[in-house]
Amino acid sequence: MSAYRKRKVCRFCANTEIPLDYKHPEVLLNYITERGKIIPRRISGICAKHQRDLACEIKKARTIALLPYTVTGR
Amino acid sequence: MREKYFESTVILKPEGGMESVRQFADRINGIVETMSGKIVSLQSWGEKKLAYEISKNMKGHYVYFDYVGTGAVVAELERNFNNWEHVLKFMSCRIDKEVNLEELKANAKGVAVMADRFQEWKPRDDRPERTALPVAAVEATTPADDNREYNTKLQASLNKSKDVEEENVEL
Repeated sequence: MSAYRKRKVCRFCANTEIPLDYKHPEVLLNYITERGKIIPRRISGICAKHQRDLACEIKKARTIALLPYTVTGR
Repeated sequence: MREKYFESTVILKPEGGMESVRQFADRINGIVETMSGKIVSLQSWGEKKLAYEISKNMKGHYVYFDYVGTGAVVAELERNFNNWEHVLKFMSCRIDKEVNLEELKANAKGVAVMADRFQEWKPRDDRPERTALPVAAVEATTPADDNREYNTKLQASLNKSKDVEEENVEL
């Protein structure tokens, strides 16, 4: 089995037009799980700087009810 | 106190509709202007589904506005939001972008111009589509493939004839 994997590229570094902002929950939705948790950057491949900003914006979006804090199976 | 650039997002109860949004806009404009601030722009994002229930409401009317003012303006606005019954939730942030405050104040649209519904971001579709190999490239590959096929067939037939010869020898 080959150990080679394609190196992930930070989407926000590759394309600076993508808005990283709590006002655009449709972008942030890609970086939370079905349960509403923030996806770690070892999985999403985002750079450290953008992951810090992303976490901040997701938390703002949660405050203003654009994103859920948690999604329960009710 | 120094002036800064702020933004606030407010969720109003959906029952009032656009009429309550207009009333809300006039009231915040009054508060900001009495404290010598200036509202730069105001957007009504319309009625949206909330991600979670807020005081038994699953829908809310989002209003967004950005303004220039001191910290006291934000404090006064938030004190009022807490008292107004039709405000479900609010959030104020400072905008960190480097901006020229005087220019912003000069070009401010105020609350009279209400921007359209909030635009969702979509990736641009102007990348060229991937097409099949150009004709020249296809032509270049075919003879080589034919040759390979021909060679394998030839090899197979040679092997066969060898086998036949061997059988003949045995006989």
